[in-house]
Amino acid sequence: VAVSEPALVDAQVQAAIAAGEYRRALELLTQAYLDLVFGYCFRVLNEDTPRAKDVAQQVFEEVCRGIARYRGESSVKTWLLAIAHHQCLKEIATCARRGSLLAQHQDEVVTHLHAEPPMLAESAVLSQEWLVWLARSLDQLDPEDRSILIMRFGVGVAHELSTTEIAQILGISRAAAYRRLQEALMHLRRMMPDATG
Amino acid sequence: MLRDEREHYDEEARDAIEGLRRLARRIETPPDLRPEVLLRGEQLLPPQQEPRVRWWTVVAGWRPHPLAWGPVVAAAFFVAGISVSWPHAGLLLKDVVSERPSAPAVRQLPQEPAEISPAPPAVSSQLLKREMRQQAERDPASPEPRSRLERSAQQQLTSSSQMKVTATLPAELYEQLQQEAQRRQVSVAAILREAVEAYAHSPRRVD
Repeated sequence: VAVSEPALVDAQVQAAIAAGEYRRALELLTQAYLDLVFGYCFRVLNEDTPRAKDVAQQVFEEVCRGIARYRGESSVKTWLLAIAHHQCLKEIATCARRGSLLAQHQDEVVTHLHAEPPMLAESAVLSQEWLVWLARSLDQLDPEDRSILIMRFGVGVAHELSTTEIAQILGISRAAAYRRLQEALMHLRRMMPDATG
Repeated sequence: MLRDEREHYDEEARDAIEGLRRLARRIETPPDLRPEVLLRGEQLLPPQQEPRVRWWTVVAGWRPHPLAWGPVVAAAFFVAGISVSWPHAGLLLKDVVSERPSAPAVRQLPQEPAEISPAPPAVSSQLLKREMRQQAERDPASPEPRSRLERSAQQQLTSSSQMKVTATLPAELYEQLQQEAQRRQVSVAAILREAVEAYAHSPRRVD
């Protein structure tokens, strides 16, 4: 399956759904957007890989259940991340072990981050230690704020959602979504030491 | 990256944004996730649609605002108006005129005096009756008995009712007929009847 530009993928997915070829549509969706969905879930769920896998699986299950009703009113990416957003928040809300999970996986997060080869150009400004702090602070944010921040800045540059798309997912105005983004960034930054420090 | 000119973030927020983007680069999707998703998804996907159902779904999915149907209906009527050849108005009028009795044809004569209102030959059945009655009254010593006269009149009526003269008389001829009728003190219809009978018995008649 040839997958290139997001717009082309969206068109192919919509055509497959309109033609009733749901199996092909699912293949296209997983090929083009599984990384995005998993990455989002991974980051929102505090870098918990098993949970992120489960929730990503649930996201695509929801997609399969509602695939015949998709009419292309929003982009495929917005559609998927809207489902992922709700699934992640549901997962967080229903998980009573949230606090203990944070403490349990902090060390793993640090290990994982330090295991990556250092990026020389970035290390000068944003040290690995600072990134660990950022990940920890992100984990302590309100789940909805975290979700918004990740949808906007944390799913890979190619897949980042616009504020308008986030507003569409949350069912609020663009101005309200932008205000919430600013507030979430402010909260996150208050938890962090200076980048240069 | 989706840049939005309306959005502005201060320096500290930009650090956090950059940090979030770097964290995103470090995520790797487990390789076994996609086969699992496809396997589970296949069980949950709705069955493949038949083409007919599929088209109906597409049509049913297109539900514009009711106001949008106005131009659609108007366009449909416009196309129908162009493609369908309607009967010509003149033809319709001609049909109506041809179905009318011949009486109005005589009444349309321009020189017709309003007080006389002569009856045309085609509708002369009542006039003929009246004339026969008048003739019988005028000439009581007629050798023909009244019943015979009536029978004759009836025959004439029958024959005249079968004869429909629809031609319009020229005005000059009509005037001449009127003058002749006045001179002979008979109706125009009687003169016409005589003329028709004379023509009918003429050896030069052209059928």
